[in-house]
Amino acid sequence: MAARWPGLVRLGYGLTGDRWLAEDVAQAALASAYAAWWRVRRADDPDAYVRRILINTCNRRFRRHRVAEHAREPRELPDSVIADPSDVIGERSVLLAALRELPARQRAIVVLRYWDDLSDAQVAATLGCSAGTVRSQASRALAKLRASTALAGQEGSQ
Amino acid sequence: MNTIGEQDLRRRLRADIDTVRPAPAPVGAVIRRGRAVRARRRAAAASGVTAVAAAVAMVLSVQAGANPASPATPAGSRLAARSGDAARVLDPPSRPHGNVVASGVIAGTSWRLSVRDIADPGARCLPAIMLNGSDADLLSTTPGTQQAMTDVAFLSVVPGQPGAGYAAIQVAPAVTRLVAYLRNGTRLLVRPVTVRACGQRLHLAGFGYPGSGVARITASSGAQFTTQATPPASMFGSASGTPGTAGRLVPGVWAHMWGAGDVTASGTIGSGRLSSGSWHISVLLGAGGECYTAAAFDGRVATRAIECVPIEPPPATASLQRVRLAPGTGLTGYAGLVSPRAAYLVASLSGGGTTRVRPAQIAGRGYVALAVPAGRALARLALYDRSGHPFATINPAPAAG
Repeated sequence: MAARWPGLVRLGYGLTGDRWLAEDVAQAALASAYAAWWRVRRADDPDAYVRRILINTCNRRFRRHRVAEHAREPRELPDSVIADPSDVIGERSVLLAALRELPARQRAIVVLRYWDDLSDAQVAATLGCSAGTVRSQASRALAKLRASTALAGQEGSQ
Repeated sequence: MNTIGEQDLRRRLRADIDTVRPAPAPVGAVIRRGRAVRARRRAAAASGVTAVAAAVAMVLSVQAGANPASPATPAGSRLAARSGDAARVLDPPSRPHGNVVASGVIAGTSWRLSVRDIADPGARCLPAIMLNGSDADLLSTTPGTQQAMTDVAFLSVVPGQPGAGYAAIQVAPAVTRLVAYLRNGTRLLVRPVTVRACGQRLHLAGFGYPGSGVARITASSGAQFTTQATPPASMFGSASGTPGTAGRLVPGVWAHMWGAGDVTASGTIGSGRLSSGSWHISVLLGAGGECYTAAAFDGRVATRAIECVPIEPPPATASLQRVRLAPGTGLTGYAGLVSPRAAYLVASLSGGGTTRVRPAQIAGRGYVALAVPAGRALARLALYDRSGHPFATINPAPAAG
């Protein structure tokens, strides 16, 4: 578990853009895996199985929080006793912010394919879809990222 | 349009994601949480198997021309007519008043379970069932109709009421009665009531019980058996135990048979920077109560602590509590709920200096969080309304030790 933990947290971070939420979903995913360990052990690829649990956990959180409040933007945060209160905890990159605009499946495909370096077949096995779907969704996700005004603005400012 | 390519995307994702340095793997917490998940799944599976078995039994009895009422689920009249079997009938008031779900007297103390909106006035509605106007438990305004009992919660550790516990059950509209089999042998017949809250009709039942707890609850529609729930004995333990362990009951916080980890709303209520890191405090409002998560990263180590307290309605002034915030940093964290009237608060620290804090709105309730540096303490908290007039002052109790 200790060996898998950093990778799962980073995968969660890629999917959520929030390191604290990432640790929480990684813990929830490992707890679910522990609860159904016999099923994980029987899986062809236990790592892929746990990754899938984590992705499903993220998706459930997003669905549940769709009508709930989200962490406030830096300018809206309450003042703090500590100096420089306007900074947020996790500085979200522009790319991760753009990723959050993608549908859940496309976001998962981007992170698994381009960060985790999984093959299309491995991504397909993790998400329970076909390799063709992975390729087409990845292509759409890239097109959306290219059209992202946030990323364009960042490039323009560089 | 930007020109991001596959290689560029790969490089930038690694640059962003690989820089995250997670805290050490929380092996103990994962195992405790995993055991809780497993217990919930087993309880749900057991109730499902019982329902199927009951349905089969009912079909067989109908085919044989027998009375479909199962001996395991006596009809209310029969239950009430028996003498000496410690059965009691709890009928709701004929005219439910003030959204009262149930009321009674246990050990000479009167109690009442009622429904009210616990969001700030003018904010979105947040219905909750409360014991004597306190210790709230959030209710779903969109419960499923496929299950007879959509939520079963117990309040077994009640501050100031040792030896008494309470149950709140959200049921499908078709359910007409419930039978609670208490661990001391008593049976209670409970009839659900319909209350209006937040523009919805909520179907609820509630009852009080002695500290020994509840063995099982059956819900039925007419003379037909529907389903039963068997709560684990751990839901009726004491508040003793290691803080933070899964089996520990928090006084004033309802324990749910299903969906114990469900979060209704969450959000950051305070944050700041350290010399080489950061801290933040967030609140999670849900089935586990009102939980404050304090996290800090001092440049080397990330720490995280969670404290859960009973959900209460908005206070007239403020209700703050100390939260553990990164022992190594020396910070003392404070978090809590403030009056809907408060537009901002001014915190005065020992040794001089003030800071202004604005409430964050989470689920229509105002929360604040702040951190006090090492060697100083929160001496006074003044609350100001939208016009800038102070309307309350709080002097927090000095820190123990």
